[in-house]
Amino acid sequence: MRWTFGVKLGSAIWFGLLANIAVGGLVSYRSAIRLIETTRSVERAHSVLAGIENTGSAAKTVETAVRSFLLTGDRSYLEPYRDAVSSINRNLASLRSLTADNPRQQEALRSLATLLADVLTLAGKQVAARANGAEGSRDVEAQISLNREKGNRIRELVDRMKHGEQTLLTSRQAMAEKSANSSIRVVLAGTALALLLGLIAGAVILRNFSTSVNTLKKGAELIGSGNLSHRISTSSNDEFADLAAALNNMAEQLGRARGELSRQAELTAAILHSIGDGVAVIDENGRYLVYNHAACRINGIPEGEFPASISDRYGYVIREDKPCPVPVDEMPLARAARGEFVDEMIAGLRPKAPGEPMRWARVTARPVRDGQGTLRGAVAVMSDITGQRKTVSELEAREHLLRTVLDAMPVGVAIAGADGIITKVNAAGAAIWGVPRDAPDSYGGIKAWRWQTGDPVQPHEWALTRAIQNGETVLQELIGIETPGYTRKGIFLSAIPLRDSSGNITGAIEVSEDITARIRIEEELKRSNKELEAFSYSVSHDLRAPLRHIDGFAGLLQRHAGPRLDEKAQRYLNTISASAKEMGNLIDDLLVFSRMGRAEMMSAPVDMDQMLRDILEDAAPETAGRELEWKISALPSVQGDASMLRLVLVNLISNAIKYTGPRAVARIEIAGYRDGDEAVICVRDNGVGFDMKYSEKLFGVFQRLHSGREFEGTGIGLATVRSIVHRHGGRTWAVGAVDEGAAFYFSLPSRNEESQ
Amino acid sequence: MNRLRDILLVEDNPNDVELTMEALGEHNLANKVVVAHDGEEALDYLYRRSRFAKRDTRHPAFILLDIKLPKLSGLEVLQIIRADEKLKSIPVVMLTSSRQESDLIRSYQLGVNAYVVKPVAFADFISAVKEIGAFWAILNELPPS
Repeated sequence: MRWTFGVKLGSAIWFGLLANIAVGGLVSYRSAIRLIETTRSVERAHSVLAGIENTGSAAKTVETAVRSFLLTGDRSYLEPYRDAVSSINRNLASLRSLTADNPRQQEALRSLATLLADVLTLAGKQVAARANGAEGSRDVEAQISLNREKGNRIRELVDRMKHGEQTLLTSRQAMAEKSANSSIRVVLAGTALALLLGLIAGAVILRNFSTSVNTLKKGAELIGSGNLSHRISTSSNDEFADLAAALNNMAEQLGRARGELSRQAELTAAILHSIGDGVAVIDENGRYLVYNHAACRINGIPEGEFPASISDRYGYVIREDKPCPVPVDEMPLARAARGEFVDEMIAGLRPKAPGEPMRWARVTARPVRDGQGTLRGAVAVMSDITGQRKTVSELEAREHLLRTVLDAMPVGVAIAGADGIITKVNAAGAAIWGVPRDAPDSYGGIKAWRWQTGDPVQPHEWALTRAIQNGETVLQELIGIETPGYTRKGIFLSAIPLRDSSGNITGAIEVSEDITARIRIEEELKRSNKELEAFSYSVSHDLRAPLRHIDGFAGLLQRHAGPRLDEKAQRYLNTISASAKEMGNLIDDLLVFSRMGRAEMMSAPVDMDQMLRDILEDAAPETAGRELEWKISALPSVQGDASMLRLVLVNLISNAIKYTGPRAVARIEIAGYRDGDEAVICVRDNGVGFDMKYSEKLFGVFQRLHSGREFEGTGIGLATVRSIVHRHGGRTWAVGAVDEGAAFYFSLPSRNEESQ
Repeated sequence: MNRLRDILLVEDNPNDVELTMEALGEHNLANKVVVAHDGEEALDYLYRRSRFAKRDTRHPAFILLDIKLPKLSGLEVLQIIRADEKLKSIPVVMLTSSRQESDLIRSYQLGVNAYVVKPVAFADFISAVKEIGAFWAILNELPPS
């Protein structure tokens, strides 16, 4: 068995108890026995006394009852008599056993018993006689006195016995008292001894206990103060050792738990710092408990640092839902700390430090409550949207730019959604349609018709509607409109559908060009063209007729009077004819020039090579007798009006032939090439050339660099060339030098869609 | 054939009439040249109305028709001739100052037989009219009227 503290304590208690019992018991056993015996004998003496008394009393009763019966004959006295008789018998029997150890009393008792037997026998006879009716007062008196005499003798004997027993009782009582006193003394001594032994054992155990508890206490204090590596050492093998082991174990467990906790805390911190959203937690006093790296970045403080409190850094915040800056205590964390729920608030944070840029964050904040529902602080999660805000403001700037550009455009631009409702219209659009800019969708009340036919434009025929509903791209449809201000306008209406990335139509853009002025000008132009036509018709007929007549009648005069006229008169007539002819040519060229500027163009692909061959063939008679070297390259095919282009080539080639006239060998080169979007054709000669400073004048009407005496010509051919080329959308230019030949160029757009 | 058919010259300008007559005379044509001074007179001749009511029923050998005429223009006269079953076979030669392309095109559309622009040069004019006269009055066989 292990000598534990419990065992020690138990042993001490048992030791004291056993010592007590052994000493006390042993010492008091005999005196106790004696005390018991003495007590019993005292009690027996009392019983003997009582028995003697009762017997005496019963004898008296017998005497009295017999006397009464003898005197009266009343039988009612017989009952006490009989009771007393049986009481005397019972007491005598009891006394005989009680006094068995006392020979003197036994002897006295025998004497008493004999006396009583005599008395009772006499009494029995007397009673029986009286009951049988024997009377006689003398007898009765005698009998009574006899009885009294006998009674006195009994009383004497009883008193003597009582006295003897009383003496016995007194001695016995004294003995009993003595015995009891001795017993008490023995017990007291034993108890004192046991107590002493117990105290000695207790002291020993207490000292042992106190040492162990102190060791434990110191160890526990060390562990409790956080020194979890401390271990309590004990030499004993008791409960204190167990307790120390338990404490040591606890310290170890705590140490492990603390290590685990710090690892957990590190992990939690690592997680908090690695998440992209800022997390901040404050306690109920507004002090920061958690401030992760993202929160630091968003709030522009070094990572790992905490602001002391929420009012530490920012001058104020700007809530997007409030137009004005609000105080710091309106910050989401501050609001949540007061118990509010803040959801996705856009907050602009203006740092206190000057020069730091404004930051924007989207913040959600919640109050933090403990189990009792008491506010314990707040937590906020924030994401940096400064970049997004920047993007948004860039978008706004772009939108502003777009709006400015749109408003600067002379054409009306309207943007409609998929429902066909116009959401935006630029300044020109609002002006053209006569609608207010803030209510761009009031087009409905505008009367519109097809310009050419005058048919009303049905709702489903609007360009915008077709673009949205059919995905049609509508280009420059001419319609007439009557605006709310009752202004009639001609409008070129275009529309293109807007599509999202998957190709669904999300709306349309409508472009409207107010061409009322252009239409008016075109009508004006048509009218003046018609007038010009009438004029040139008139010129063609009426101006040429007198010239013809001048020449005609000069010719007739020549025939009739020719032989009679002198040389001078002949020359006059010739001059008249020549002038008339020259003016005729002039008129013809002018008419061609004016026709080329107005005539309708028939645009078609033109085979320039074939055209050139025809022209050269036609020119052959003109050049008969001259020495000409042609250098012909392949020409690019072009798009245009064949008859007009032919006139261009004819003019240039006949110029080349004309101005190479003085050359012994005329060299004319005709070449063509493509230059980007243009087809260029060049006619070069080695003729008399021209001064480059007049090169632009060459293409003017009636502009000539040579006198009529040198070269015939009206000065209209190159003007006609330029007019035709311009109408085709091309250019003309010339390169040359005096006496070194000339090169005339004209270009035509490769895809000539001109069709005026 | 006892007599040559007439040549109808429709021309309002007397100078032109004179020059044309001179040119036609170059050939010493035996045909009688009848002059109408406007479109109305030309139709009067063709339908033998007013001053031409008593002329013989034969159609002219050909018609020299100016375009720019008082009252009815040469093109209108041509249109009426070509629309009339009895007249439409008569050769018509436009003899005009107009170099206007539209006149030329219109004339051919209406079925003209020749279109001659009066040259400014007198000599050219003489030769042109001579040739017309020679071709239409002498060489050309006409369908029977």
